[in-house]
Amino acid sequence: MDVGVAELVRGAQQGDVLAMSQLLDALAPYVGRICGAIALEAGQDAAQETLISVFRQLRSLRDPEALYGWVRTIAVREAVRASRAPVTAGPVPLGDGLPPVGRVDPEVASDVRRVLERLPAEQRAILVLRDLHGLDEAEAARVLGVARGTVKSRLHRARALFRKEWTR
Amino acid sequence: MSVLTGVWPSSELDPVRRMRILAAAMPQAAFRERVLDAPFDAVWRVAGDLEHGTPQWKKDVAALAILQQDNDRLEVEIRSHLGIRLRAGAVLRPGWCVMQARLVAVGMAATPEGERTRFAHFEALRLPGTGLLRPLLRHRIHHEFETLERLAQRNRR
Repeated sequence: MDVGVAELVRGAQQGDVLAMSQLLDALAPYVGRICGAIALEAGQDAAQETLISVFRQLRSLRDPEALYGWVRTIAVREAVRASRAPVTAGPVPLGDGLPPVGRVDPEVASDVRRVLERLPAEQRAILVLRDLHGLDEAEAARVLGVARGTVKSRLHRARALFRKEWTR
Repeated sequence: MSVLTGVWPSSELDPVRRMRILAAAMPQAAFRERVLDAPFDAVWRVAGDLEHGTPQWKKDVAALAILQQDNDRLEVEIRSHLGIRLRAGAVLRPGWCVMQARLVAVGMAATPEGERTRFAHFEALRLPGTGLLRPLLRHRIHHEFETLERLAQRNRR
């Protein structure tokens, strides 16, 4: 892990607001990618709620090296929860939720989003953890708080459904 | 991380959403947000101009001087109407500013909302027990927003 981020965590734990601001800069894109892929339209609300939880509980994090794994667990659970709740009419207009275009083919990004919309949030979560973050079954099971067998069957169903929708 | 990362949907957080997160992490912070009836550029021309803008809309600031600047990191000196001087470190970029002195922290954020601007602001005294002052600070911020809006409307180009 970046030594600078560990220092920011320690500073933020001591109430250093400038360290908190920089830590937020580092975590927001990471959380945005997790919540956007799982919660889709509710992604911004989920990312905001995730980071509120993270910063409120930051003092309980003993090992700054564990930061990203800890944040990922909170983000995945919050994103699945937000997907089940009706989308709130927040005061800030929601964007289209698509990734910054850059060199990414916008048509492919739009197709991925269309396919993800047809999957339940739990299946999107398992795809994010296994195929986007490269976690193994045991790690994914820990993050989601389910048995390894559940991860295996959910992943199988998610990949099958993704392939089917992708080729439609 | 997968090579396909860029094609998955991602959610970006605008400065106001980020400021809500920062304020929520400080139990003693007095936080308010409001949609100001002026475009983002006009609002940030006042709010982001720390030396000339801040003393015009922050009731307790008589003067603010930038002592050092390195990209978005600043060292500033704030003087109150009572003559108290505070040194503060700050981060300043379009739509985002956080300042921290030994006993006080301040943040402001702005994001366009159509032709108007959503503006968020917090003040926090970094001393135990000062959460009791929060209602008073929130009341003051309410009036400061009105001043900021008037200045921004005058600044509209």
